[in-house]
Amino acid sequence: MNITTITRLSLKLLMREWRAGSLTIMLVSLLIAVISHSTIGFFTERLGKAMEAKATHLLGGDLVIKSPKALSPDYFTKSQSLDLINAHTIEFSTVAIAGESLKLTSVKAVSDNYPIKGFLRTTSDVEKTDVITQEAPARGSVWVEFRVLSALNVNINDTIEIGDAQFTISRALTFEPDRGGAFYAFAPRIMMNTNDIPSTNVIQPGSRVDHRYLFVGTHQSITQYKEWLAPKLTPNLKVLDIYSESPAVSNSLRRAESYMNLASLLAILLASVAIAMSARQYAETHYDTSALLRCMGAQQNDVFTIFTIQLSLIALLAALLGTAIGWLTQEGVTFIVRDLLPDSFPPPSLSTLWSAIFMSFVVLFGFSLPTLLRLRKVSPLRVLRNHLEPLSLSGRLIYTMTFALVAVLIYSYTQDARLTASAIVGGSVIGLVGFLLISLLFSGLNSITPRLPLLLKPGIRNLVRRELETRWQTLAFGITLMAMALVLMIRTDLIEQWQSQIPANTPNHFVMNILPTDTQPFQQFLTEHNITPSTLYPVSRGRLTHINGSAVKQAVTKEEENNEALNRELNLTEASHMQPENKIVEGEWWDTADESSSPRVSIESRLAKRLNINLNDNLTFFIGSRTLEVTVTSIRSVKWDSFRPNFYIIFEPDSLSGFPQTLLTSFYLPTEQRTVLNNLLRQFPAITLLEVEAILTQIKTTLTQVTLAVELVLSFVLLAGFSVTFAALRSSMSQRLLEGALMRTLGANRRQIRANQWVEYSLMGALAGLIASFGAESIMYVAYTHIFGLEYSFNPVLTIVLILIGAASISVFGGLSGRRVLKNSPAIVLRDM
Amino acid sequence: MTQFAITARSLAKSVTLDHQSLNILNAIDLDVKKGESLAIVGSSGSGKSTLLGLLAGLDDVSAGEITLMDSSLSGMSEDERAALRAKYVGFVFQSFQLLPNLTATENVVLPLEVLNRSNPEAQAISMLDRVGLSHRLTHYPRQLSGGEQQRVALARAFVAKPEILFADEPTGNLDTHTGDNIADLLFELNHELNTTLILVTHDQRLAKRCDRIVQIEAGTLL
Ligand SMILES: Nc1ncnc2c1ncn2[C@@H]1O[C@H](COP(=O)(O)OP(=O)(O)OP(=O)(O)O)[C@@H](O)[C@H]1O
Ligand SMILES: [Mg+2]
Repeated sequence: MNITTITRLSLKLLMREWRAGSLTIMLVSLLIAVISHSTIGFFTERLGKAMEAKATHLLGGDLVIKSPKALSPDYFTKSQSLDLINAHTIEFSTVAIAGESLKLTSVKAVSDNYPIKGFLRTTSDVEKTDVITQEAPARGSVWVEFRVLSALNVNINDTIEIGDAQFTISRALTFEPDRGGAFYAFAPRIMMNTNDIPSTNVIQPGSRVDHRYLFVGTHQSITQYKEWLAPKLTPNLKVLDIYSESPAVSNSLRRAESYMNLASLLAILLASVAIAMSARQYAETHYDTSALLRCMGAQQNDVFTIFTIQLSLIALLAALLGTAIGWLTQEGVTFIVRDLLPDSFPPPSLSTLWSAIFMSFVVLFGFSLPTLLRLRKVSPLRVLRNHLEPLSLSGRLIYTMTFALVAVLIYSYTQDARLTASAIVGGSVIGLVGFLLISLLFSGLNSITPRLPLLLKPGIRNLVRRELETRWQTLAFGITLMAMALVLMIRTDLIEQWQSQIPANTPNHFVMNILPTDTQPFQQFLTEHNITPSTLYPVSRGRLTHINGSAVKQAVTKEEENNEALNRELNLTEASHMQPENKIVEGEWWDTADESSSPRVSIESRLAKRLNINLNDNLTFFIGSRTLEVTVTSIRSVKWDSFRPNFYIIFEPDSLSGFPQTLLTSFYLPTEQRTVLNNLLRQFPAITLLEVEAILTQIKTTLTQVTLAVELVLSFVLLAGFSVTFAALRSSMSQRLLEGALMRTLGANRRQIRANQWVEYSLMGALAGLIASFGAESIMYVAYTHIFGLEYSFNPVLTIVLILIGAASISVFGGLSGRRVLKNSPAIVLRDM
Repeated sequence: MTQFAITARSLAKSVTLDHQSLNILNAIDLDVKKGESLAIVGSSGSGKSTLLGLLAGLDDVSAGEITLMDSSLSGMSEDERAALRAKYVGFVFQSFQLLPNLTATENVVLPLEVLNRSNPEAQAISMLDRVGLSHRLTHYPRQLSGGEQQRVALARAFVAKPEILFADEPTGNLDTHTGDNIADLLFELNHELNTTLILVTHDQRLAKRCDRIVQIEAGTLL
């Protein structure tokens, strides 16, 4: 046959096949795989881009150069030649004056084109909500944070003095994307125009200022610029890009992304099982077609090509349709959460389409090739001797192929060879042990059948009689249930963890510099306004000067010389109890007083590592005007993203009592109560108040999106699981139909057959549930003890639930698809066979 | 060109079952002239279907030589034999072997499509008309009675106008009356198209309608 004939024939046969509905399960399973792949692909791509955009917003540009001095012009000739857009900001501390009031503020002077990435939020009326602002303050005017207003006792449109110049406050600044850094260590912000700096005369040679040069451009030109910069960098000059800064939520996001990838992978693998099953069924129902075509003179390769073309079309159709549905789903999700998303949510690219097409072909052909090859081998003699089955490929070949394919799929999703290997080994072990377990249970059932009530007997016999086939089916159901259970449990854990990270009343305000004498009235003020503060931590500001007697600057490596912890005064606190979310990684917390040695401190683990500080090292601090020598007795890990006050270094109680101290706390204040803040600041002018509502909202938003995506991928896993179940039940249906019809011709009534079916299916489901719980518990055991380092406890409820769900779902599915056995007269069924 | 559609010389077929060689056919010599109709009769299990399969080139011989339309089958690959079948051979089976997902017309069209003949639908429809099923064109096999299904199978066998038609118990699954009707139709078409017919049956009445009868017992021609 020539290729056009073959193509035409295969198209025609495909259409006829399609009409007869024999391709539905295969197509649906493949669709689930592709939809899952593409939705997740599109969504994570867009989310990734959005997060990247957000990260550049936090930075203020794609690339930022930080320098204590103005840069020489050649930096800009180069950046202009690369078509980079450039903005300039200068930060310095200075005192702002209004009438009698003074306030130390952190001024940020910005060039006219600022901001070049992201946006500010400002308001021209304190009572009104803020609006997105994408410009810099005009000359002669400043924008200030609310706390400047209250500290200086002024209002919008009033005038303040900075150095020699006067400025009109034209707006209040509520959000600044590139504020960055440790957010509660700043004085309140005033933003002005760089062109106004000369008139203030506040910057003198030698003044401490912080220049930031923000650049925006294509990825390529940014990279080129970075390469050009590399040799020019001095310790003073720091280059930041989004890859060197990691936002607080990145951990949760990374976890979510790997969860989504793994779950989506699971969905695809489950769907693949369904595909393999339906491909097998497809092949088996086409042995006759193959034999007939051969009788009519078609050659082996013609037959093979016909089925290959059909499968290719199915793969292509599934890929296109699946990507389209995936795109729509993702669009729908985006639409539903549009208020939560960043303003410019980047569109998805076509790359997901290509990978979906690729995946569709790999999965369909990979999992149906063994049966497809069998189809090619059908002997034309089958037309004369009806039950002549084609030789099957060698089992070893099929298993090798399947394993290789699964490995490729897992690897392409995880990009992690070790994980891939352990998943495959673990999966095989669970499969093998599960199979043995099933065989054991079956023979157990077999031996107790005689002693069971009559009602149960035929169903159990049915189950046990079909031996090998039923064992495989039970195993498949068990593994499917296991996968579904695991994905569900991990999802619940993940979401709980996120919710616990930012509970409803997470503090959105931090208060620093509370004078010890103000402690009483301050607490009273809060109580009067129904505000519950977290603990009040005493804080002393101090510098770490020596480690084991040698000056810190010499003790650390060159690159740590610019470490913020060394160049900035640290907030030092003392505490008798450790904060709840801290964890000792080395040494011990002080539970008892110990007068003998020098005061003990506990240090945060990452700082300890960076500065190479170990247990029992001696540290010298310079606090106020005195030094204090202490010993490191514990190293702690700290959850920095917990939104509670956290400290690098904690001293043992009373060791700081002789030093100047203020107090620090945080509390939650609902937006409606914001006016309370003005009174608070009026009554306690010395305090520094910091609002972190904006950051909190950002994080909450992100977590909502991610939770949604997680739910979405979960539903794909469940769908895939159901499609496997359905495919498996369908593949054994024709045999069951025949048996049911035969039983009825032998005089069994519908009720009996239905009862038998229920017994058989629910038993099978219960066994599957048992296997599932065994698998899930094993995986959880390994994950808890070896990966998360948590205590594992066996959960009998899970086992019971899985057994019940297994029994219920399989018998409902089986009952539904087996209705034909009962509905049609035996004559029709027998005739259809 | 010889006058023979098929010649078989010292044909033997054996299969290995449980490490034991089982002889199904022994030393069969057979010539079938072009246009002749030949009945192969014998009791169940005597090897009729096996012989038919060998003659049609569906299976490999264990020994001996077959020539089909002047081409020797020995040494031919399965695919080469398939090409030969495409050119010369048609089949009718006891169990009809219609494809369940195809309508009557589509089943009949199939061989024409494999052969890439032009205008296959029209030919198929006129053939179905010829076997008296013009009112059942779009029906699926399960919607047809056994006799009707075998009519469709006859239409499918003859539509490509093969030189040789192999029929294995074409009436075996049908009652006497229906079987007679099918047999009438088979012989009518056979004469119209001047086809060589090789027919396997254990029905003496059907066998007698052929030009010649050979009997096979325990794998040997009597
Ligand atoms: N591939 C095979 N494997 C094992 N045994 C075979 C094979 N092919 C044929 N036989 C055996 O050879 C013998 C002849 O089979 P064949 O089908 O040719 O008989 P038949 O004459 O057509 O019988 P019937 O009239 O019942 O159709 C039978 O005993 C059969 O079991
Ligand atoms: Mg036979």
